[in-house]
Amino acid sequence: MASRDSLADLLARCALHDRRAFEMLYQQAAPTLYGLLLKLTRDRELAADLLQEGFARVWQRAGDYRPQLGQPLAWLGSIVRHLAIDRLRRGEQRQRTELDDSGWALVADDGPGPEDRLHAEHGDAALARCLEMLDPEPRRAVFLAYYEGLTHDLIARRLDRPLGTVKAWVRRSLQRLKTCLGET
Amino acid sequence: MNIHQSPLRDHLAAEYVLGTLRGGARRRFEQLLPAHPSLRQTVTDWERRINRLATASPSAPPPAIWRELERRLFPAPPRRSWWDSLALWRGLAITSVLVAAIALTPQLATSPPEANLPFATIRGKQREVLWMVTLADDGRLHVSNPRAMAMPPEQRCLLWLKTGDTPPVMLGVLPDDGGVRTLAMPAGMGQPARGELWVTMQPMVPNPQPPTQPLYQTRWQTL
Repeated sequence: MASRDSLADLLARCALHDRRAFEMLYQQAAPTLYGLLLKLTRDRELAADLLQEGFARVWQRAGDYRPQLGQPLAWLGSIVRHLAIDRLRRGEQRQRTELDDSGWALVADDGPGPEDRLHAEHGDAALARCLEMLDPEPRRAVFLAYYEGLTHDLIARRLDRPLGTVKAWVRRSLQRLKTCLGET
Repeated sequence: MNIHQSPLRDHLAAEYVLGTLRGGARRRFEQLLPAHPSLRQTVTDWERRINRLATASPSAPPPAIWRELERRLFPAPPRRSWWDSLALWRGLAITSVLVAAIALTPQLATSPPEANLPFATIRGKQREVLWMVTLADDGRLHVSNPRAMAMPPEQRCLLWLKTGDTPPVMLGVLPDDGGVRTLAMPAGMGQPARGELWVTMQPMVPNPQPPTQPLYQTRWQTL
């Protein structure tokens, strides 16, 4: 069994249209991206559709990846998130309230919070530490925006707080994360 | 809204990446990106920070997604009766010549087929890579333009194949938007991975005349 190639190497090979590298990239990165899309859309069909769209884009644009753009997984994450947000906002419909049973199970299963998972499974201890420094409610607002794709007003409704408060929370949390993560 | 004001720019970029910039503001912000490299850099910095959150909750995707993706990106060539195919007979003839050649040249038989992946790099005046060209198994050219280029209005870069003393043959329009294009080889083109690749810059016209001088030129290499 060959050793796991780094995602950056696989992306470089995809840029040369190496199909085997693309398959390996998919195997390694798809679960993370699909998980992200499920959280964002709460809709298995839409998540599957966006995952496919995202990887088609990755195949076409693998040559655009540069290490300065961050970790490969974060770069891939930004591609699928932009697709998801565009799709969700197109018409601003909340079609994701139509959940099937397994979808509801997924939403109900909060399990360990995202920051625990970051720490336990991916060793992004720096990010987990920075998130812990945020107050609970502002942190929840950032998570709702990132993982559920909610806008300020929907976050305000969900948390039952004034819109201005939520905007200030998000703004301050982002600045605190930036300072805490430093310019690495 | 003064986008050049730094804290505001930083804040808008952060909200854009997080997804809380919405509606008209989001669209206006996206329209500013292509023309403002420093704004793009600010977005990139935020993507690097915020998208570290992406790794939090993996979930196995249904296997059908990969199958569908493969079918979409790598469609099987159209089927037709094999005995109708001139290419088949031509292929058999070439293959038998190759088999004979390989049998007579033992060291050739050991090199894997991927070892002969022709590619070419077209570099600019400062040796920077402007385009990477690879010749795929299906005979098509994949061209990537690693960095978007500021082109003069109404001008396009064209790729030409120059072999021997004959005038160059146009292969297609090169991408200048930092993207990737696939160019089909013109019919009747024998072995395209020979000769020189020429690049010209010219206005878009229906049937451009073959150039006598290239703006850039390069040769094929193999991996």
